[in-house]
Amino acid sequence: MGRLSRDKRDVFYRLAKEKGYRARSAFKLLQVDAEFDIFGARGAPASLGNTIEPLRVQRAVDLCAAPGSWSQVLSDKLYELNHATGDAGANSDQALDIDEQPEEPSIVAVDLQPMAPIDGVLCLQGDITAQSTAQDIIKHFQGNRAELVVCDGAPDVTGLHDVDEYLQGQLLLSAMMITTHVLCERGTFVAKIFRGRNVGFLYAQLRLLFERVSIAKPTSSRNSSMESFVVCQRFKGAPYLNLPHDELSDPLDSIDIPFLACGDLSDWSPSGEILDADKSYPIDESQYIAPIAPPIQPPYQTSMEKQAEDRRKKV
Amino acid sequence: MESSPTEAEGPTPRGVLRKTGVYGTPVSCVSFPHPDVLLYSLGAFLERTSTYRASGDGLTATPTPISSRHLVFPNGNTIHGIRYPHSDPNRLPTNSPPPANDGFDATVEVTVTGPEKAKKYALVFGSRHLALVQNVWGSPDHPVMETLSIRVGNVGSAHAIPPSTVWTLSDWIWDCRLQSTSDPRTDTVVVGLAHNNVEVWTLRRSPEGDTSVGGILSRTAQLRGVTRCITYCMDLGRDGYVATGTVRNEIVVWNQPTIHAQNTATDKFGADGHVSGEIVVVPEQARLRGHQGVIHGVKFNSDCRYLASTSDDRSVRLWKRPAGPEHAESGSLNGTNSWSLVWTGWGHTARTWKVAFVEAHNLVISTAEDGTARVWNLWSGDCRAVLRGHGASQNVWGIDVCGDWAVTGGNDGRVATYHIPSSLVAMWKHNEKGTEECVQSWQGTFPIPDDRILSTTGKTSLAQEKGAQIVKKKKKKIVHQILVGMGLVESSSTYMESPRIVVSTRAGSLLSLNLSTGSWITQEPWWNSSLLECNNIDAMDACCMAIHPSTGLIAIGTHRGDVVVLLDWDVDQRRRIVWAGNELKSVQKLEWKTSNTLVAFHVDALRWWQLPDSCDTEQFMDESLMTCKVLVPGTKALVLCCALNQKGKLAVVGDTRGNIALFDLNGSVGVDGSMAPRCVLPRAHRKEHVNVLLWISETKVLSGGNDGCLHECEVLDLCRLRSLYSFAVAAYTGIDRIWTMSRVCGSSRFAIAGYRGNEYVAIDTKGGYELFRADTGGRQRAALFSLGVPDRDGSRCANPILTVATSRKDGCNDVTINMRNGRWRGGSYGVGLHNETIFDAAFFPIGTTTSVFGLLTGSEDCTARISLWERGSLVSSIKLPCQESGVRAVCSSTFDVRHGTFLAVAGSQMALQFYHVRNEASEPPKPQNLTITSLGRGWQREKASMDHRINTVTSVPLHAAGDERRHLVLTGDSNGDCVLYHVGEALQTIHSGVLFFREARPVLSSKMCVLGSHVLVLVGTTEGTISFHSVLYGTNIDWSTVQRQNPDEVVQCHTMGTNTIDVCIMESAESEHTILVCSGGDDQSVACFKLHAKLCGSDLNLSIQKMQIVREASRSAVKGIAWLDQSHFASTGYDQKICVWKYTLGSIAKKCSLHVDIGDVNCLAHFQLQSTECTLGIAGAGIELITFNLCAL
Ligand SMILES: C[S@@+](CC[C@H](N)C(=O)[O-])C[C@H]1O[C@@H](n2cnc3c(N)ncnc32)[C@H](O)[C@@H]1O
Repeated sequence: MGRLSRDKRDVFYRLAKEKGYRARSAFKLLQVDAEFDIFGARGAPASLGNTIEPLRVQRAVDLCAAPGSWSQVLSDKLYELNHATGDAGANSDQALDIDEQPEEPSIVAVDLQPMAPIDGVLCLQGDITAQSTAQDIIKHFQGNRAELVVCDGAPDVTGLHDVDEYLQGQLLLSAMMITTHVLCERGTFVAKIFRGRNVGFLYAQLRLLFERVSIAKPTSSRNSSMESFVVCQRFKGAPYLNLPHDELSDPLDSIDIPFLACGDLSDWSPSGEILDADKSYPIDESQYIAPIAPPIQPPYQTSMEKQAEDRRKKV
Repeated sequence: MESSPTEAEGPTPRGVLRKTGVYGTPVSCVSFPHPDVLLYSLGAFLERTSTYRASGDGLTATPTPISSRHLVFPNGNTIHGIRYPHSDPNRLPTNSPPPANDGFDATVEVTVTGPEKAKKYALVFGSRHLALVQNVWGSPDHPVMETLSIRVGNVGSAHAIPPSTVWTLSDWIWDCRLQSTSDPRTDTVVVGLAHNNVEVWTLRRSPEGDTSVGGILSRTAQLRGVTRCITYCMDLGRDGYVATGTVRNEIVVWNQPTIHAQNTATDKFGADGHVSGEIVVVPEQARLRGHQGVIHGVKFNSDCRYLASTSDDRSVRLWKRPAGPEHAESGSLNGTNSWSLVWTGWGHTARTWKVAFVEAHNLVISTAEDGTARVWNLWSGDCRAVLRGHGASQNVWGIDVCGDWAVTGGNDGRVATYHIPSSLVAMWKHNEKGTEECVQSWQGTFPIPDDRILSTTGKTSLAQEKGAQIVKKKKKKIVHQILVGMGLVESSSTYMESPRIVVSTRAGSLLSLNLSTGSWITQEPWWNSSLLECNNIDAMDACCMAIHPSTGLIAIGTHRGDVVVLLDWDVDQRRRIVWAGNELKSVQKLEWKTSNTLVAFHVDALRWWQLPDSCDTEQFMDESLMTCKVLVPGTKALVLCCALNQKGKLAVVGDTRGNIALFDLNGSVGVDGSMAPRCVLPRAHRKEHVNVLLWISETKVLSGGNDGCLHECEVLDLCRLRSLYSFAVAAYTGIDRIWTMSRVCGSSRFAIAGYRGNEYVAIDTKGGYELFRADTGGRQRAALFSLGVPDRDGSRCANPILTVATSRKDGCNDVTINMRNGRWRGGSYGVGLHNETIFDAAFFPIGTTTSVFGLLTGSEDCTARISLWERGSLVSSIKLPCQESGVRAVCSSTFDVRHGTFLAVAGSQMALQFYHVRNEASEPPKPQNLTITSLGRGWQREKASMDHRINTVTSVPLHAAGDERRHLVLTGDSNGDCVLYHVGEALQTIHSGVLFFREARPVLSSKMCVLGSHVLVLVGTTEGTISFHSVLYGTNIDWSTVQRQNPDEVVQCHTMGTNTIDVCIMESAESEHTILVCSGGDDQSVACFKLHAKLCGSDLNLSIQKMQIVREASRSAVKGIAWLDQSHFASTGYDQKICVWKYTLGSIAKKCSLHVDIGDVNCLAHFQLQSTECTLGIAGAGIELITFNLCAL
């Protein structure tokens, strides 16, 4: 059994491979959707206490998308919603522009790393904290705004804890700024957030722009990780449209945000039990499926080549 | 049931929670302002230590450096940099030599004495904060550092903010520069911020005696680079140079020469103390492209002609600004003034972090995630040295240089220093010593002269021709030159001036290589025909050799068990002594223990030849004066090593199957003259070779083996051996040398050497500082490691030499010499803890006073450690045997300090290990007096998969019948299984567990408490529940009835993951008990309730009362919780805060909180100091200690 690393034995990793997703993180988005109905597919409150009716999504932005499993989920969901039977829970007032199928890809995905293409997804390469990248995304939408912006951004961890948290926070703030340019009023923004020391400041910023902000921890995210997801619903729009990219006001007073655990993936688990990222499930190694999207051009590629060269010289 | 939202938190009462120290966390910054003073940071604490250099030299110095600690940011914030005033470049004498380091003129400072030096101040920064710390260098008359208060804005201005010791900026700070001006009280502070912005501030320090405020600050300019994005690093160079690195693999350089222009005229300041005016956008001078990953570090040299950078792509790059006008006008971004790449340095095997220039030697030094620092030639980019002051698998961030010295900071909380000139490595060249560069290490390969005997009749030929002819290129089988052995003869030997490597061959030759000239000398052969005639010994029989390095006595052993002894460079060239093997088998190995003790390792026995002490080497040749003992371990394995204790009474012998045999040399001798062991400790090194044994006291033996472990055992009364512990030394695949580095106050420091794969590595076991490393090219090759001549103070490893023999295609051999000249100069400071995040920690008492206590920690790095704390400071740390994978949980339980403490360590792959630790007699306890005994492991039948792991372990002391002290241990694992073990303190066996209960979801936390004759068990799961069970034990546990189907009670406390539980017994009577339970969840909440337990027959009836939940107790997962007394508890978690809560029936109220500096907070350990005071240990990426004082509340 030793051949597979811990990550590869993980139940969500295996499930992702089975379903053709490029990364196990797909399930985090699926679990968030199960709880919050972020695509507006159900058109009715998804769970008790969730009284916000999300917009039906036709355009979406995926920030920090590589290798692309969230984009795959977006692509699947948007296709189902807008091309399939058409009546899947559509509410009448939002079904207006369904007939006019957008010509352009309805999903824009951005990442520092190159990404293998996905149907219906426009992949841009860029740094989301850079003003120029933000402008590229805005340009693409040409006045049409998306109903959903997601961001799963995480900088490479350096191990200096506060630096990592700061950099992740900056990714989130940049994503939020881009969001004010591309998200339509009452739209939804979902982003990865490290629930670390200064998270309260980030919540405060988000609360300014959205009517409702919740923090969700899918069971597919390991218990022992700081990672969780902020789900921001009902973008207020003006006066918060098109905020300048790096003019951050001093952090506001930090605030508390309600926490929601989400674990419903009953569609995925054969026995209907709650899958738990902290539990080990039996594995059959012969069933192991090789990763679909191995990293494209890792930064250390040249370094590895040099090392191999050195070893050859020694022999 | 839910309580109202958290009550508004009042101002934190002073002194309730007090930061005591941060340990074992990544060293976030290092600074070397003077070769005698070293500063580094752990969390918000600035640590200062005098260097070994100040009191002695290098590792071997005996005095302990004097250290002190200062909390710079009282509310917590990790320090990322320390900057000293740069002298005004314009005031530098024009023809002065280039400043030693970064414009900071160390030579001037050295001459500054007394109070002036004591006044030295520095700017300390971390995240968005800055502080001005006075007296950072320390001095005998001003030992303490202090933070000055600063006022931002002008006095009397309406907006003036009250003075504060911490000054906060609008963005994250990557770099600062403190520039002196012509006014000695005024400095310019330039601050580089993370979004490519630079702010310039003027700092006017108050005159002496003004105690109200240390200085006044005003912002004089705001500059902004053109590129707008987040940056990962920034360096502020001289003359307004700014370099910054981005995630798009680019370095942006811009320059604003007027940055340091003074702007102190007060009339320009606005009401808020800032110069009003526009933000200046500064154009770019260059964009440096080439790195293939995120840029992590940039650094200018002192005159900004060069820029070095590091990146995710694992390279180090050097960039050069073309010669030209010294101060290019800003905006001159044209072809002629653009930077270019000089070289790219490859070699680091992980991300590179930081760089620095060693200006005095034209070198660049870089740190990386691979645990090393590399030294590069400034001009060529050749790698000149790999510095490994930190253990393997470490992460090394910070770097600073001061003259000849460099310092690096690791992620286990230690820093290491290096004397750079003495760490450079060169290829061996004769007369290299004459070159300017002082090369201290070299490597060279020397072909051994061909001494093969041309023969057609094979090995029976006895022709002994000097300088045998080269084998003719005929089609025939190659005759190989077979080496018998190698040895080092030191220069102190009376016969030669320089050290030599002596090689003996089966052709009978003795060849020696002069290490100063690199030339070979063919000596008088060791074999001569009279050996055959008188003793029937053929040269082809030889199989091993040992040379005594100072006397030059050579011993050669044969297949038949004979030993030939002769003198190296024997003037009279004739004398050979032969000790016949008698019926003993072939000699596998020979070892000179002293100049008058030789040990011959025959296959299954060893002979101990001893000469009376007074005899000199000449008399050694006289067999009649010899005594000989034959030791036969009888272990059915080859003997490999032995050691005699100081009194010479006891000997230990190790073999190829991991056994250690103990002999009493005063004991009886068998009829055949041989001795049998008094006892054998089996499998001390599993079934691997025991390579080395060393008595570390009269009764304790340290051993090293091919299992890569160090093992310690103890001789008990009646000549019994007891194994104390064994642990794998980082990355070692075989340990074959152990020696004493130094003796400090009665405790010894050991160094070890052995293989890490194909590399031969010597390290100091304290902190893993690397002393020597060389690639052998394969373990099968004959290798000889010599420590060299001991220094005067007795420290060893002064001139380590590794000699490796390799055979050539033509049948002859080469020797490759890897050598260090001179003393290793460098040191290691601070006590290291874990290399990776700590998952669990538990305090335990050691002595009768509470000023000393122990802490057991378990980490992702696969180890558990016992660390010793004295008056709140970490004094030492001992590693327990490694686990195969991460340690997830630990616990301790104590009956009575005098009997010691029981410890359990559990983790991935269901590993579970029990220990007992006791302080032997001394008060106050000393680390070397701790006895740690393994009690064996816990074993459970079922193991579902590789990822099946124990998440939690807890134990309680249970008195069993009679004197035997036993503990009840509970483990909870990822499959939801809860398993009970009953472990005695005396037994060393495998303890099998009983599956007690199975939860549907993984178990995350657990707790037990003894209530009369019952043990109450609490178990928390990923579902957010706590379930309760009671176990009746009376005098003993009835295991047949212990299994449960259903818990006695279940409560849903959290919506997700019950991460932590603590209990506190309020009242406990015969049949009725009241306990308090608190728990923390992944859903950011804390819960608290009362539990009544009433005895009904033999059952405990449980009833839960007054459940209180605070939903938004934290902004992140709560990971640790602990009762402080019967109404207060503390909680901590990923939000890096510790909160104190008061529980009264009907409400939970937050009393106070404090920021924690270590990240990845995983648990909270609690140790009662006095009735109203306790120490709280927060563990994660290190340990932070916080003192809680109830009286102040
Ligand atoms: C956890 S991965 C995203 C996984 C993705 N959601 C999926 O499901 O496949 C985080 C990504 O953030 C990207 N990233 C980090 N910093 C970025 C930045 N400044 N701009 C754009 N992308 C960034 C990384 O390249 C990385 O691919």
